[in-house]
Amino acid sequence: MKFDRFICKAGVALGAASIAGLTLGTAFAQEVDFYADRDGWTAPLAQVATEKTGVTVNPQLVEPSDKYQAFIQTSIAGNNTPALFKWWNGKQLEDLAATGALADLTSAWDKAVASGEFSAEQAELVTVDGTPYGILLNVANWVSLYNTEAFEKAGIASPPATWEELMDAAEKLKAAGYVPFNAPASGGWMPFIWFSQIMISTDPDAFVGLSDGSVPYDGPEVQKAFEIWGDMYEKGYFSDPREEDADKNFADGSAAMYVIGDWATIGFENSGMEPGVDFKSFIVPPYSAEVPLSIIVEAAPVVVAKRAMEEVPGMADVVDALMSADASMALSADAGVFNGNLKGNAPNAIVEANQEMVASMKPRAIVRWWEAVPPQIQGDLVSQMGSFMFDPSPETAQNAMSTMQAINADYWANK
Amino acid sequence: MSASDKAALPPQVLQEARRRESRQRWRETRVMWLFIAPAVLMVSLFLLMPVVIDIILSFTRWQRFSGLDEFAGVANYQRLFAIPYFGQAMANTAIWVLASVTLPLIIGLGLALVFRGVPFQETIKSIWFLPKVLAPTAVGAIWAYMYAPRGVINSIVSGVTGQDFDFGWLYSPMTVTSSVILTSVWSSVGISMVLLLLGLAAIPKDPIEAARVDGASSWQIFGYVVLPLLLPTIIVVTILNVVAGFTAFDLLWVMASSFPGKRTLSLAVYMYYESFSNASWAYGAAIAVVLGGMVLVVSAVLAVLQSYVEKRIR
Repeated sequence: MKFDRFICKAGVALGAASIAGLTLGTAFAQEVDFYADRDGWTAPLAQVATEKTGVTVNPQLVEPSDKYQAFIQTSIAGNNTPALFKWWNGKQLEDLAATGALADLTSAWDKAVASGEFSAEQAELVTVDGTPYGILLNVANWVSLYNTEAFEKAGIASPPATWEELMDAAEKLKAAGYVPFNAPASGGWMPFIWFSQIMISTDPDAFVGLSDGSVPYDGPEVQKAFEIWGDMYEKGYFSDPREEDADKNFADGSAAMYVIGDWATIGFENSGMEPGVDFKSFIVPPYSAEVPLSIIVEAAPVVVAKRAMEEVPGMADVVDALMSADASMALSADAGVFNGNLKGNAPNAIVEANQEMVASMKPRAIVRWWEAVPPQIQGDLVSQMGSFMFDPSPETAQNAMSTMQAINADYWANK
Repeated sequence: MSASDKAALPPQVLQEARRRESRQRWRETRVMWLFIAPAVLMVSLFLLMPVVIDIILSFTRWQRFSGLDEFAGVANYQRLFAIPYFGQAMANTAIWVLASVTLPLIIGLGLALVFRGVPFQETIKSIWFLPKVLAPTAVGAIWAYMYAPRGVINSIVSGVTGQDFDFGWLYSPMTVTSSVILTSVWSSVGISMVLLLLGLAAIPKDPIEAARVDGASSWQIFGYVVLPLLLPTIIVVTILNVVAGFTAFDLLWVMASSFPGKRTLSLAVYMYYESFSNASWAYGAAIAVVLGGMVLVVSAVLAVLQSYVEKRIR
């Protein structure tokens, strides 16, 4: 009996001590966790923020992305929103902002714009209903990389400026023994790349309309895109979509062009290709002169929990530190990722050249399809695009389009 | 203390004895609960509670970020039949269960009969058992390379036919399921063989000798003596393979990661896909309930069958 009572008392005492310890720890340690699903992205930022503010920012990794999203969703549902975490922009950010769990970062953005570190246009990438909710972590322009040696051997003097020139280049590259375009379907998400590229090259407005349900996936705009896509497959312009190593064909020089976000350049740089020398980039031209030049822009924001902003005294300073040029430079140097800070450094010559191209050519910036469409249907839709890549026949195209529209219509009807 | 001794005792003493006995019983019960409490706690927390939560969840509408939104009745179950993916996943699961039960059993039994009592039996057993020791994700990764368009299998076909062959085994709806099943069988046939070898070793020699003396042929001995006595082991192997077939996930997830119709490859994959990739937790929970229910029913039927067979053998 005495032993039982002792155990009970010891348990209660231990529990009380733990709670007290945790409370005191939270109150005095000034420690926050910074979650992401990409290895290496958070550590340089966390280090700069810790050094600048005295608040210890702990980088935490949860992989893969679907598990990460589930973790964040359940954390928020359990009223335990992480202090800092990476998220996606577009619809994903809209859904998250609607929970009311995110801190309004207007004052931080005002300071950053006033100091010339970011522009007001960049704030739009992470703004929902007039309120900026994110710190930019990665801003990537989706361009076509090209192998300079392949272009030289195929007799292509300069990067294509029109769709005709692009097709002409593809034909010349094919004749020279190259696969014109590296177009992988691996990882479950890559099939949207060429669908998106052809859509923004033919009808950028329709592409935007796909994400809000106003344009059907089996309408004339998408029919045209699939027709062009299928025609390019028929001409043998694309690499085998069954190649599991997405970058292999471009890295080994067998494929000459690769439409991808410019974050991918660091991988090629690490594999021995020199950006700006061995490979360069161009913005994929529109299908016809009537279509305005457009570019897909991918942005990954870091969002801040409202509760953390209210309860952690140094949190506002942490936000300022994460938006600083020092943080951008650390991110660029350590992770090869550029967050668009105007006083920061691009990680390599291609990312820098892309910034200059965008500044001079002023293409219409369009949110990437993955972030633009409702997350509840993105997987179902992209798998249909994938089925077309594995069997690019007109029948599969029709089947993919009608299935996509059925999924899309069902979502918007029951929303 | 006998009943006649008790009757001879005065009521106060008897009452005191009863009280002492009751206290003793209570003390023993407490000790018993103390010992089983960790197990009960673990099973309740990590097994029963998630099942109960899953069932509750399947009757709700789950809102991303805010969690359980409202009671949705059987809406998630109705949706199962409104979307074609569930039917396809169910059909593929049926193929998986059928193949997982029959192929390892037939091949395992054949191997067990062939290798029973041969020299180096232990070494042969270990070699066949080896794939089971490997993690399924590692097995999946190895076989994904075997099946790759430029992988080992296509290279062999190219070598034999003298023609370039780059068929995508894991990309075609016609071959993806059978390809992964083949890998699963390769991985699991060893455990079936070992269990059946143990079952064969446990069969008494007398009935076999008696049948032989009576002039029974080898096939008759196998069909009328060995097989009935091996039935309890066969049922155990079947139960294990049924559960493995219903819950086929890891190999499919690793090997068919780029197959566009991945979600329909099995109910377990569909459940994971809906819950995690599509963030439809409540719908995923409904799939889990259906899947769990089916495993439970089939396992229960097999358990009853096992008990019936064991009684018959005794």
